[in-house]
Amino acid sequence: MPGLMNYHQHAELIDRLAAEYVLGTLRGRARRRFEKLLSGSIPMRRAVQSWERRLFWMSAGLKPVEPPARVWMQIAARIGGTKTAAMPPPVTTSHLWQAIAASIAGIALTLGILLATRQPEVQVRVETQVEVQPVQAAHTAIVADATAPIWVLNAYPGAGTAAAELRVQAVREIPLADNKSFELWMLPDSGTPPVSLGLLPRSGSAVLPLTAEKLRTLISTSKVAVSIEPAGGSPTGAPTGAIPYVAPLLHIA
Amino acid sequence: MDITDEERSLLLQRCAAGDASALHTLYDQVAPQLFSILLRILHRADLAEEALQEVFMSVWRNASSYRPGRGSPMAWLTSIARYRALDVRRSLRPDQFSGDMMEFAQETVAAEDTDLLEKASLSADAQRLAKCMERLTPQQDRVIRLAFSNGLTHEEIAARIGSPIGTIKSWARRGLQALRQCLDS
Repeated sequence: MPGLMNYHQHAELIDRLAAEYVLGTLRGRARRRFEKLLSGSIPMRRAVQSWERRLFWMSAGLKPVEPPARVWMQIAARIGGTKTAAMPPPVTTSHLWQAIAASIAGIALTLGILLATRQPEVQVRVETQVEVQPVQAAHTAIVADATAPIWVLNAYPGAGTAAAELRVQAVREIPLADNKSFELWMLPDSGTPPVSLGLLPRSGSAVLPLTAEKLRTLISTSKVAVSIEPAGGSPTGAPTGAIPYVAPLLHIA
Repeated sequence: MDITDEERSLLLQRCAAGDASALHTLYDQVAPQLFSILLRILHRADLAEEALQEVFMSVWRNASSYRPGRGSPMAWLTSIARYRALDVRRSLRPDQFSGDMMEFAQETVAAEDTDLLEKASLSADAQRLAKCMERLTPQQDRVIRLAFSNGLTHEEIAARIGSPIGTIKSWARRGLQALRQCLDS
């Protein structure tokens, strides 16, 4: 890649580009290209960090502006069960997990679980229909908002001729514009980019196929996320819209 | 700032270890400063709020990549916020980022920016930067401040100042060169 050679051969050029990158005047494709090279080049990263150190004082004197409380609430919801008092109680407590794990044994049953969460005085009643499953699910997750579950996810590794699949049950319908879709993503523990698992049904159930590669990734993933995408899913292969829900993925088998 | 760099650095280490309460403490301490930076570049509270959320998600995911030896936590956090804001601005259609906002950006910058460094100048590094900025030509100084603090592109600065874009680029480049020489001397 001749471009790469040019970048590395010219320390002066690296420094100039780093300065413009940090200043923000390196834009468009040049910026993207620089960012791509940045992750693989120690000299480039050093140059960028030096400029960040030199210039950041320009914004240090800005008068702080208190952001609305909802911003932290949304962050806390996305990072999962936090230890902060200001948060609405998380629904996905271990009690719920145990209940769900117990529910996938194979017979259709209705769960009526009274959940006592960590916050006193708050109780959530969960009713969910679980279908008959011939094989035990190996991985399960419940995507919920602050009040109740929205989707129940069960992944089956496949056996014999049965292919691996992810079965999704929508527990309740969340309003969404017609030109939007909810897309489900794995957030691999390795920190690699999210991997799409497919589109979530607004109501009822759906079966999402799991390729061998996705199943491998799923095994080393402990969080899933739902993003809002244009109808039909992300055009880029990565989440492009807001990510309203993140849920832990529980490995049972 | 109520806490020291060392404390911020410790909070980042705790975030890297998955301690959400450390992220909350860090948020309480630095979010107002970062929100101010985002508002200044984005001019829209909704966009700035969304960006702030993304900034802290990024901090949460990437806290382990922060290395105390490579700069202050605030420099690191400020960079994450600024790059996010630049990305958001880049992704906006022109009608989402209206002329009024540009006007706002143009009018507020000159009035406020001259004393920003003074306010930050409790630190020796900030004082150095302030001294070196003083040595720039007024045009170089202006271009660098408009780009850094307001996230304006060369084109936007050219439109603002009424000079050809080539001239703006050259002011920015020479200004940065002079700054580096002065700061590293």
